[in-house]
Amino acid sequence: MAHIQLPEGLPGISAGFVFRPETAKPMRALAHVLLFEPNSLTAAERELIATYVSSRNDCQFFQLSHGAAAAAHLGDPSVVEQVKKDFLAARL
Amino acid sequence: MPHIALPPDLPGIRGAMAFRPETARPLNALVEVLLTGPSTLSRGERELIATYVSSRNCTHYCHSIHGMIAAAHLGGDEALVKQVKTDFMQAAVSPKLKALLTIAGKVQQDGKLVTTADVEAARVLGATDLEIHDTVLIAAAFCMYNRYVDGLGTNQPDDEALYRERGKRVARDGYVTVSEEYLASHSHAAH
Repeated sequence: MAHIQLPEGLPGISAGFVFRPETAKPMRALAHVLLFEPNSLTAAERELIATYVSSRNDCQFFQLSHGAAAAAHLGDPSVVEQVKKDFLAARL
Repeated sequence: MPHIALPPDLPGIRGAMAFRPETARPLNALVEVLLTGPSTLSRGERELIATYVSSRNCTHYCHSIHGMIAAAHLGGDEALVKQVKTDFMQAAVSPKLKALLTIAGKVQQDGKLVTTADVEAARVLGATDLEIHDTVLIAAAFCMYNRYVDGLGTNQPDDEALYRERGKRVARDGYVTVSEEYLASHSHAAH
């Protein structure tokens, strides 16, 4: 149950974004630059960083959504699980 | 001493932003909407929330500069800002702002600590959903800015006068306008 009247049917940050488009715009722009635009780190590597931090913050929505994005880039969900549990033992 | 080669003449977040203008733009746009955009919370109140969160994160640059911006909005009352940093419950701010600062303090530790009772307490004192939303986002965003500034080991000067002068300018001109100056002057220095 959300603390404020967020739009129904939208999970996690999506509901916050729809509730307040003025703040959503720069946050989406920031995520786009950091995670999607050309970079010497691959998109998968950057999604893994986002997933790892979200996992340490115990944020269910983000570790699943960015974990899924990382897995899609990598074609392998097991690496994502390993990074969350113990990245030193992961095949990176 | 910064961990990477940041422009040496720009302290705190400014050096990091000049290093990477592509991320600086949305970061500045976000803080501009949150702290200076139209809101039923005053600019002084919103700066106090940012200052308080930065102070709890022990990020010297951010709590100093936003404290001075807050003071500039509050008629130069630096004592009030210091009181909010040390113990806001004793500060001469509205009960509604105290309830919002309580929520912000929990977000600073872990968003999951915010309870229905915390939100209800703010609502009873007149806080709207939008004010609660923005309080949570200011607190969350400043945890990001604080960690950005600390994680890169940016220079964070001690001299209060520097923050006071800059605080007045930011209070007057806003974040995006002031940032354009140093982003433009360093656009060839980065990388």
